[in-house]
Amino acid sequence: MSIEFPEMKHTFLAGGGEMGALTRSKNWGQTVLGDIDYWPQSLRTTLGILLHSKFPMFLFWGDDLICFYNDAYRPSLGREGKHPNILGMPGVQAWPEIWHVIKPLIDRVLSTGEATWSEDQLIPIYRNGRLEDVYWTFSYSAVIDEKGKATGVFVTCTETTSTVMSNQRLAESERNFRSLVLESPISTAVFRTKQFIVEVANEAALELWGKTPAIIGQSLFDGFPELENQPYIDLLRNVYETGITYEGKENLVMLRRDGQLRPCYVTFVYKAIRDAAGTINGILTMGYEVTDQVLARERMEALEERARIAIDANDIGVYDLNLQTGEAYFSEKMHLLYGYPDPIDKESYIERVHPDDKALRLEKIAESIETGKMQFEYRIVLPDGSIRWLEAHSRVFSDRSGNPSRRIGTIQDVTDRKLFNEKLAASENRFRNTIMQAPIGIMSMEGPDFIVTMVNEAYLAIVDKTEQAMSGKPLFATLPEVETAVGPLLKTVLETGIPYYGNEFPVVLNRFGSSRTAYFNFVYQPQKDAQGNVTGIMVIAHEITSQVEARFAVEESRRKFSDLVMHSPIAMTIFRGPEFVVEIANETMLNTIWKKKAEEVIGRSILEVFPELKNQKYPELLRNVFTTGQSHKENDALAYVQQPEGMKKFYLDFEYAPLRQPDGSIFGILVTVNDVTERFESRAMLEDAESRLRLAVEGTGLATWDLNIQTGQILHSPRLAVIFGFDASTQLTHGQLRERMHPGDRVDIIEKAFEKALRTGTYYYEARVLVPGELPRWIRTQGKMSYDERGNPLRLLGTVIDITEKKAGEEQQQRLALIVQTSDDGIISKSIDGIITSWNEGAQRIFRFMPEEIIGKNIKTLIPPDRLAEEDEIIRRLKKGERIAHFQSKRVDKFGRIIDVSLTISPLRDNHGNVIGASKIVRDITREKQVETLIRESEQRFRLLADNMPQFVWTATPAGEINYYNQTVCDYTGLSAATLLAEGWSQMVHPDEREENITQWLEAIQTGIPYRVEHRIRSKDGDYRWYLSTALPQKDENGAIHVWVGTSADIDDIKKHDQQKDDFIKMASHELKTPVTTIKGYVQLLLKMNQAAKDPFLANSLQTIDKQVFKLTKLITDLLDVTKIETGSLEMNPEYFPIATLVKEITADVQTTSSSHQLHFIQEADPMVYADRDRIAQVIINLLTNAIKYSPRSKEVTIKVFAQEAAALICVTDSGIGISKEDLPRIFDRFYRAAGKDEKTFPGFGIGLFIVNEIISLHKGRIWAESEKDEGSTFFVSLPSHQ
Amino acid sequence: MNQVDIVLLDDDKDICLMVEAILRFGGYSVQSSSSPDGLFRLLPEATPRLLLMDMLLSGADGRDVCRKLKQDISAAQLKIVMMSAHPDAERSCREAGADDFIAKPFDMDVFLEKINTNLAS
Repeated sequence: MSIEFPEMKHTFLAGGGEMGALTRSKNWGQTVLGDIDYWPQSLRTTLGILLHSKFPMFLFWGDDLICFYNDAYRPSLGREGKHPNILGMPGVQAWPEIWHVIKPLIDRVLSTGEATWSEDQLIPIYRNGRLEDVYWTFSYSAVIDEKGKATGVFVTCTETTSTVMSNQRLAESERNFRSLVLESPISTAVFRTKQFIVEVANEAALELWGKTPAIIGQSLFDGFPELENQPYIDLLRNVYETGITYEGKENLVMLRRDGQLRPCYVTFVYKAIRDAAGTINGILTMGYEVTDQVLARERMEALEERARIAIDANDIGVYDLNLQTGEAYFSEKMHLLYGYPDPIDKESYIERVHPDDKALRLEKIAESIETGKMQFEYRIVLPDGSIRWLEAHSRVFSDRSGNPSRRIGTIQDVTDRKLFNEKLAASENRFRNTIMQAPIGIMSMEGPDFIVTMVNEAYLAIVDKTEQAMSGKPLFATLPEVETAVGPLLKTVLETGIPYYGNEFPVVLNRFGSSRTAYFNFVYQPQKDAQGNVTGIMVIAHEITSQVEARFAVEESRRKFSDLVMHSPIAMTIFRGPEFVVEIANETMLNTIWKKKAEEVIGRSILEVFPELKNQKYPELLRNVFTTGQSHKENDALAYVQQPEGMKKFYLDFEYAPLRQPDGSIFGILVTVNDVTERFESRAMLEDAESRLRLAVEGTGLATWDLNIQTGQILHSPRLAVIFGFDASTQLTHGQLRERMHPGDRVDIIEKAFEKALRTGTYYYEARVLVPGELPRWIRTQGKMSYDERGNPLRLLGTVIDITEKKAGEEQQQRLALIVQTSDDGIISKSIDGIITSWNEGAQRIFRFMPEEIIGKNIKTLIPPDRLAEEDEIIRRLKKGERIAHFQSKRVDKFGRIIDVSLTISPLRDNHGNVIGASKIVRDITREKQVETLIRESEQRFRLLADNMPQFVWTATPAGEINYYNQTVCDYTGLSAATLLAEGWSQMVHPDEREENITQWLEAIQTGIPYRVEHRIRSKDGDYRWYLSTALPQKDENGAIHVWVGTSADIDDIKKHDQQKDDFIKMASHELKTPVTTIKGYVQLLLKMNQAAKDPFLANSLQTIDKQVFKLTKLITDLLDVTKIETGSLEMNPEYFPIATLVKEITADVQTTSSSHQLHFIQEADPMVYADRDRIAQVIINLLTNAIKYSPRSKEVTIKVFAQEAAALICVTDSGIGISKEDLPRIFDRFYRAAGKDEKTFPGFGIGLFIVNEIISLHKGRIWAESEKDEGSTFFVSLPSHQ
Repeated sequence: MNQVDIVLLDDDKDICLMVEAILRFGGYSVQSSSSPDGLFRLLPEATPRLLLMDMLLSGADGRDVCRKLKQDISAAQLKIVMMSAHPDAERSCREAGADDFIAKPFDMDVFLEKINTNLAS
């Protein structure tokens, strides 16, 4: 016997939650399954699995398909439903509402044993108190019992209702979204994936993009290739990657419009689309185009900006480039600056830029795109080859998306400023060169180690060093031997800043291979920085070693020399100084030549002792030796000397030799004389060729020559031939030499100099030599005439030197000086303390001081007392190195007159950059100032006048910017002039006329054609009144507009009156036509009705009435047309049509009503015209009826249409009464009627042709007539044809 | 009252009579009214296919009437032909929504042709 425990009995039911408990506690004995104890193992096992599973499960078991389910399944049964009743219930009872669905499934599983799978199946079940739509995903599988038979159906399932419902709602919302998107007027699109596939794009989007629906489904890369190189793909990528919404406001996009890419402005948003998980999978874009608004605004802004700049700089060229379209605006001044008399295109400006500056220009332009600003100077080459310097300023403006859109800039000619700066730099350069080449030693040193920073040639020569050895090194490293002597001095100067002057200062120098004492005069000049600190020393040294040594030697030498003179057997004397004072004379001289005692001559001038010599050649010779330093030696010279026995003739050999100081200066002449009177008597010879040749080879650059005046024969040194462009060995004739002289110099210079030489004995000229194939050479010729005993010219001896280089330098200098001297502007230089140091002719003209009156005086002489403070300010700024440009002030001239001047003052600097003075350019602007004052006064007068006028008066700049409104405008609008100027006139204009108005104004500005417009202007009460505004351009003598003067007159009353009149006529016409309508209607009706009755009297009467009514109608219409013509309100509605076709139709119509005449229509062409069809018909009808009316006897009228060049012609010919010559010109006048005895019989109002003429004029056509009295008339109409 | 082809609105009674006569001669049934108020009383019963209407109606504007009718969905099928002797009338009538326009005075044949065309379309 075994013991059984209840809990052990049904282990498969143990646990299992609520359903486990319910299954356990159920009294199964009362069911078909019987007590649990008898349940087969297969059921037990299955239930075990079921109850313990956390997955919803259900079991149908046995033939009755008894229901079991677990806790997980329970929620699917809801509240107030099947739970817990269906546990143990047969399936058919448990699930009546779906049994027809699931029973077949169960049967199939049971019969086949195969499992089923159903997904999201709608199986409505009863729960929560009602039948609910429930979706399921479930599997049915067979449970095989012990006998191998399928006994149960095991259901695993999960309710998917909420998933399915949410998917459905999603789909629906998507549908709603799409229809919303597709119909939206805002362009909307969705791009998917990183390829930006266009998933959705509405009509508006396609229109914005300029695309067809074909783009949908394509990637933007393929479907929107124009976006390449535009930033939008990158923006999309960014949004896709970051999820941050991008909002573009008025972005510039190049989009396809009418087949071309055009700049468009678009305001749009890119927004990331995320899936349920929050991952970005697409981008939504919405936007709309704002191109028109942006362009309109930009145009206004551009206009304002341009106008503003133009006003700011009236002396400056202004331009405005649209960087996106390439459009350009250039002010009048621009092409003038570039040397073009007429406006030119953009490229022509670039052409003139100097080739060397083209790269700079491009570089600056590129730079300005980055920085937004540009400023640089460049050169242009004018057609005459001259070069001008221009200064360019510009600003780059960007559009809303930051792309550069416009460049607005100014151009100014700065050539004068540049030239001045260049001259200044050149002068500084010259100064530097001068120092470097100065014959005085100059060296500059920096710092306590005395580092040599600059040393000139002369200094290097003194110390016998190379520049390389000294420059950049401490002074005492190169010259250690001088340290003891000058080291302490230099240190003191460096410390105290006080210059040191050395005089005959001995220094031991190691140079030229030995160590010797050298003597110097020098100055150690401290160099200071801007703060006044001593930073270095400049040395200016002059070696005087030889002088000093000579001085030491002179006493010794003089003593020796005196001895020599005194004891010489030859007559000797020494003359001192320019007075030729006899210093010493030896015994021989005193006794044999002079025959005087020492005390008679010593200490006296020789010419005082021997006055007879004054009229002889000797004083001249002595002076020559004394000044030139050249010895003079002569043999057999004739001299007359007063002897006690009377004047005696001597022949002397003598020599005059200069005596020099150690420094080379001449202090006296040593005279040696030998009396050869006796020897001469026996000699007749004069000179020989040998001595002359010796003279000729002397010197190096100097050529010498000897001209025999009697024979014209010339002897010269080889050098002369070289100077004249011949080989050195050539011996030239005087004629050959003269031939080579510049023809312009031969008479004026050379012959004059020669005549002078004959008179004075001295020959001197500077003239040009022309050597074929070379530039002219300048030579200087000097000569001395010698005479025979009777004073007749014998020989001319002289020298020639080539002075071409020197001359060139002089010319250059003269030219520069001339420029400064002749400048219209005053050019003055002054030292830093205000002392005037130079004064040109311009300054003389302005201030009327002669240079000698003003140089050395203080500049304050020229400044009025009330402006003296200015000079202190100018000096303060100059000291800081500033330049003062175009400073306008007043100055006073020599006679106290006040002058208006414009000053440009630049600092002058020394070699070290220290400001040492200033150069001042003064321009007299008194006249300009006077003109300015006159203009101001005249303007004031104009304003006074204008402000008191009842009309609006206003003025505008050539650019169209209004710069003045009179008081009347302010009174009417209630706005101040400042407000009007700031807000612009367009605000006052009625919105209906505003846009048209702006267009017309801009057109007037551009073309210079007077402006005339009617518009309504708002008063201070907010009412509008009609005004007629006209503006006329005022031009200067060159035809350039300098101002627009405009007036606006109140035409409101006239306008209203016109309108009233117009309305009245229209109404009158209406009122007249109304009764006519009734009459005409009845007459026509009666005519129709009578057709059947055939009463001839009635028919005739009715036709007459009909005809008369037609005339009356036409009369009314014509009157109305005249009124319209008078008020200018005759409107045309033109269209294109073939003219001959129309004429043919009308001819046929008119023919039907005029059986009396035969109308012949001839068509030669059928040109197209652009005209108001009804009005042209009216013209033709008029001409035809006239032709018929005025041809009472003739019965033929011919109508012809033909083409002539660009015109369509219609002519109507009759053979009627014709028009007299007097009347012919007036037939198109209003109310004209042919006046003659016959014509009275023709009725009519006389306005038909007037109307016809007006209509044709409005079509820009022409009408005229040819006629002979009694012969007939031909009327021609010509209209522009459009083929 | 019965259904008619055309309803006529003109403040000038003589013109009404004349136009009625011509239209009847042309074979159309017609009713007329001389004021907009009368017209609106008439329309529901007469249910015309075409309304022939003068522009200036002594104190009322035919163009306003035209606009009002054109906005009324129930009258969408109604053709409206306007008439006037006023020189500038045609454009403003068409702007007000009129299907066609006849200038007064008119030629009877032209008039009937226009009526016919509008009824046929």
